[in-house]
Amino acid sequence: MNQPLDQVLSAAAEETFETLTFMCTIPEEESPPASVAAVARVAVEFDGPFGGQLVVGVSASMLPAVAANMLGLEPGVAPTNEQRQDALKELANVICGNLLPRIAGAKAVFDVQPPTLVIEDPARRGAQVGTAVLMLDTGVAHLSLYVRGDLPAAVSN
Amino acid sequence: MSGFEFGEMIEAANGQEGLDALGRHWVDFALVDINMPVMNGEEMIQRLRTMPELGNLPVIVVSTEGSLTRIERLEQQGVKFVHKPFTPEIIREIIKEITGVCHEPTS
Repeated sequence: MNQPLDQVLSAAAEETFETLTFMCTIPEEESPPASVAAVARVAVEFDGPFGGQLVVGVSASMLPAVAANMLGLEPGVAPTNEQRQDALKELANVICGNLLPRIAGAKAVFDVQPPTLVIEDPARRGAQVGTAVLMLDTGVAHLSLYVRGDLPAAVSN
Repeated sequence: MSGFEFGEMIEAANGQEGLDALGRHWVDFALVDINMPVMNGEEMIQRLRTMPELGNLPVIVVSTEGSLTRIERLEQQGVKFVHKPFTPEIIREIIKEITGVCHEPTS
């Protein structure tokens, strides 16, 4: 059975948000108004059986909570800008690392580059093959997957 | 967050810096990522295992790496592998295992 990449991407992201930041998805009718413009985006480049890029963006309301939860900061302690950026980079890194085996199989070997902050629209590397929007209890996360080369037959976009 | 009372911690930005630092400092164990610039963690560990004074250094790989092929290669180098994300309890137990230190968490 072919599994749409959107679903694979969404599942990998949901799991990572839950285990790394303790944030869960909520029904769309209960979510706060979604901000279209993400305040911060991170790009993770990878290469292997196919190459590409994963872009992860989060809304303004989420980033401090993402960092605070990942770092285990005491309540009331605000993360620094550097901590926020590092947390978002690590979040994207973990999502990418958990996503690629779901697409290519457990034996495929990828080289994943250190995440970089995206100030403007990222340079596209390949075709956009998957998107996901997660409505979380603290805001919205946007994910886009770009791929060059052929994807395994078991996954479709 | 693991509750361990560490002494000095030495950081390196990539595998080459890590090898350089290990040449200058004695450590009880190394925490190594895989996906690093300049020299990745797998190459760093391969080189480490050829160095007489560091060949038996306990190494914990902490990574998002999902390839069973690569994980098996790493474990054949005698490392302990921890997949991200992980809890402080997991890393604490592995540190206790590889160092032989019996330590109660401080918090």
